[in-house]
Amino acid sequence: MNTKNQASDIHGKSYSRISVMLLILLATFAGILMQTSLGTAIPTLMKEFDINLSTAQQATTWFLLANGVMIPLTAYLATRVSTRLLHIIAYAILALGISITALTPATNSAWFMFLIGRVLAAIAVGVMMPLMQIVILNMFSIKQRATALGLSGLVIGMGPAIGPTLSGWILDQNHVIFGLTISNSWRTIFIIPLIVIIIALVLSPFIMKDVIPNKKVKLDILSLFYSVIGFGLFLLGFTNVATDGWTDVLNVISPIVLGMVLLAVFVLRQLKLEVPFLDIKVFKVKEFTITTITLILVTMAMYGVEMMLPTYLQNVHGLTPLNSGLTLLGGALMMGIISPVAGVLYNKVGVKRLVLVGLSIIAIGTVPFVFLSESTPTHIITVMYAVRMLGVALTMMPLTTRAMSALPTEMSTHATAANNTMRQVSSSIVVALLTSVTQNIMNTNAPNAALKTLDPIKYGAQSLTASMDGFRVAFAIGLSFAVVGLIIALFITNQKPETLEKDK
Amino acid sequence: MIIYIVIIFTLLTLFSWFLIKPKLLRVVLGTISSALLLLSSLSIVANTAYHFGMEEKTVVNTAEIYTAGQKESPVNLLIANQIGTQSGNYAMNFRDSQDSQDPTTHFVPDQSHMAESVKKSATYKIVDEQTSAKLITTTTKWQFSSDFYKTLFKVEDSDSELISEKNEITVPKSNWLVLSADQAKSLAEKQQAMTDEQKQAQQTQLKQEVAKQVQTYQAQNPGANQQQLAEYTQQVSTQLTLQMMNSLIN
Repeated sequence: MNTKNQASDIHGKSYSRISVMLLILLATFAGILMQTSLGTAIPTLMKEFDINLSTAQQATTWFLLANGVMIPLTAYLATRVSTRLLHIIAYAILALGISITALTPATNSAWFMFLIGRVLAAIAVGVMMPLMQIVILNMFSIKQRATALGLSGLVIGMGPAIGPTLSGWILDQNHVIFGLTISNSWRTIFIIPLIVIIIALVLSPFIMKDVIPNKKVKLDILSLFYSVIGFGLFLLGFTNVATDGWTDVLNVISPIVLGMVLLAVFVLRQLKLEVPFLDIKVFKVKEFTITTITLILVTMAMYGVEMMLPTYLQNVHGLTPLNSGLTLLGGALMMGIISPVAGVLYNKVGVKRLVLVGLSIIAIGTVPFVFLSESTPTHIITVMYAVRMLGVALTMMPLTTRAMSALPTEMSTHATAANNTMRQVSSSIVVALLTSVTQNIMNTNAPNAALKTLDPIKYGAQSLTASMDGFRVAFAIGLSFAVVGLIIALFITNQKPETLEKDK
Repeated sequence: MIIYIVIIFTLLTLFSWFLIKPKLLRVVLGTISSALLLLSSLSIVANTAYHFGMEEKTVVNTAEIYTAGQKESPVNLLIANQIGTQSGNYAMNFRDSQDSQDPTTHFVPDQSHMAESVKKSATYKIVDEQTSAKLITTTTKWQFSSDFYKTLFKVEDSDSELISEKNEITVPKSNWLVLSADQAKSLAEKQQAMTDEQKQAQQTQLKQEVAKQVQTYQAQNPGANQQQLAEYTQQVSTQLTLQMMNSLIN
C-alpha cells in the first residue's frame, strides 16, 4: 500500500484517506443529484400531482431552506458526534428521504409526503456538504487540500449540469440499458441517487473513519429553535402569496412578521451568547458583509432565471424535458468550465474588476429574458443563458474566496457557516418569492375557467399571455438583483485582510 | 449571425477587461466591447419582442376540398366539430384530393404547442352560388424585411414567425352536407342498422320519386334535350338524397 495514502484516525488506527474521500464524493454525488434534478421535472410533477407551479416549486424551496438551517448545526454535530456515526446517520436519512419522495402516491393530497421526503433529504445534504469540507480540512495537509477541495468542487459544480439533463433524459422515454428497462416515470429520477446512497450507506461502516476530533460542546437549543421556526415561517409566508395574495393577514402577513420577529430574537441572542450558534459577529467586518450580500444577490439572480426556464421551455415552447435540459446544459457547463478560470483571474486582476465585469455580463445576459416572448427562438435562449451563467461563474467563486479572506483565519469556520447559511436560506426565500409572484400574476391574469369549455383555444391563448406575464416579471426581478448587486459591488475593495484588521 | 455576434462580443469583453495590461487601453476597449455586447443583447430584444427588421406579410391560398363521406354518393360530406361550445372554431374532416383513400382531419389544435395553436383558426360557411367546395387559407407572418436583417437575426431553420392562420371552408348548399362527428356517426349507424330489404325499399322509393319529378319536368319542358334531362335527374336525386339524409339525422 502507498504509505502516503495512509493516515491515522483519532483512535490512532491507520486508514486509507483515498477510500474515505471516494466514499464521501460518491454520497455527495447522490445528494447533489437530489438537489438539482427537479428543475426539468417540475412540469411533469405539476401534471402528475395536479398542482400549480408554486406548489411544485415548494419541492425546491423547502429543500433549500432545510439545507440552509442545517449548516450552522453541522459544526456542532461534527465536533460532538463521531465522524463515522454522523456519516452513517446522514446517509440513512438521505436514503429514507429519497425513498419517501419516490414512493409518494401521485395525488394532489399526497404532495406533502413528497415534500417531507425532500426536507429529510435536504437535512442530510445540509449536513453532508459542510461535513465534507471539515473532513477534508482534518484529513489532508494544506498542500493536498487544494486537490481534495477541487475534486469536491468538481462533483458539486457538475451537479447542476448533470441533474436536470439526466432527469430530462429519464422522463423522455423508456430506455433499455443492458436489458434493464429504465421507466420514464418521475419516480425513476430518484432511483439513481437512491442506489448510490444505499451503496455508500452499506460501505460506510467499513470505510468511514473517525477523522474529526470529538469534544463535548453545548448546543444552544433555543437558537436552533428560533432559526428553524423563524426561517420556516418566513418562507411559509412567501410561499402562500401564490394562492392568497400579498394582503392575506392569516396566511401571508402574520407568518412573515412572526418569522421576522423570531429571527430578530435569534440575532440578538447570537450577539449575547458566549459561544454563538451562528456567529453573526463576522458581519461586523464591512468587507465580509459587502461581499456576502453581493454573493447572495448573484445567487438570487441566478435562481431567478434558472428555476423558471425549464417550465417556460416545456409549457410554452412545447419542448420535451430532455430538450429543455439540453437547452440549459451549456449554461450549466459554463459554471464548471469558468470557475477554475475565475480562480486564476482572481489572483491576476483582483476581485473587484472580476465581480463588476461578471455582474455586468449577468445583467446584459438577462435583458432578453425580461422581454421573452412565446416565440423567442430556443437557440437565443441557450446562448443568452450561457452568457449569464458565464457571468455567474466569474463572480461566485471569487466572491466566496474574497468573503473568507476578509476575515482572519481563525474566524473562517464561522464565516463559512454564516456565508453558506445566508446563501441557502436567501435562495430558498427568493425562489419562493419569485414563484409566488409569477403564480400570483398567472392566477390574476388567468382567463375564467368557464372559457375552457366555451372556447378552449381562446382560453389557451389567454393562459399563455398570463404565464408569459408571470415569467417576464420573475426575470425582471432577476435582472434587478444583478443591477443592485452591481451597485453594491462598487464598494468591494481589493484590500488584504491585514489592512482590514488595522481598520477595526 | 446574432448568436455569433453575442459570443464574439462576450469574448472581447472578457479579453479587454482581463487581459489588457495598460489601464487606459483596457478601460477604452473594455467599455466599447461591453457596450457592443449590451447593444447586441438589446437588438435581440428589438427583434424577438418588437419585430425590428421584420414586416408583416399575408398570403392567401385557395384549394378545392372533397367529401369526407363515400365517394360514390351524390351528396358530399364535411364533418365539422366545434372546438369548445362557443368558439366558432372547428376541427374538420374532409379529403384533400379526389384520389385520397380516406378523409383526413384538419385544424385540430396541437395541445403540446399551444403557443402556435392559438394563432390558428378554422371555420366553414354554406353558400348558395358555388359549385365546388373551397378551402381559403389566409396566412399572416412576420418576415425579415431585407436580406441584411435575415442574415443578422435568423437563428433557426424557420425564417418567418406566424402571426395568424385563418382557414375558411365554403361549401355549396346544393350538394354538400355539414355534419358534426356525432351526427355523422349516428347517420352511419342508422344506415348500417337498416336491413337489405329496407335499403332496397329506400332506393326504390328514391328512384320512383326521381322518375316522377323528371316526368313532371319533361311535361313542363317538352323541348328539353337528353343532356338537360340528365342534369335535371342528377340535381333531383342529389336533392332527394340530401333530404333523406337530413331526415335520418333529425
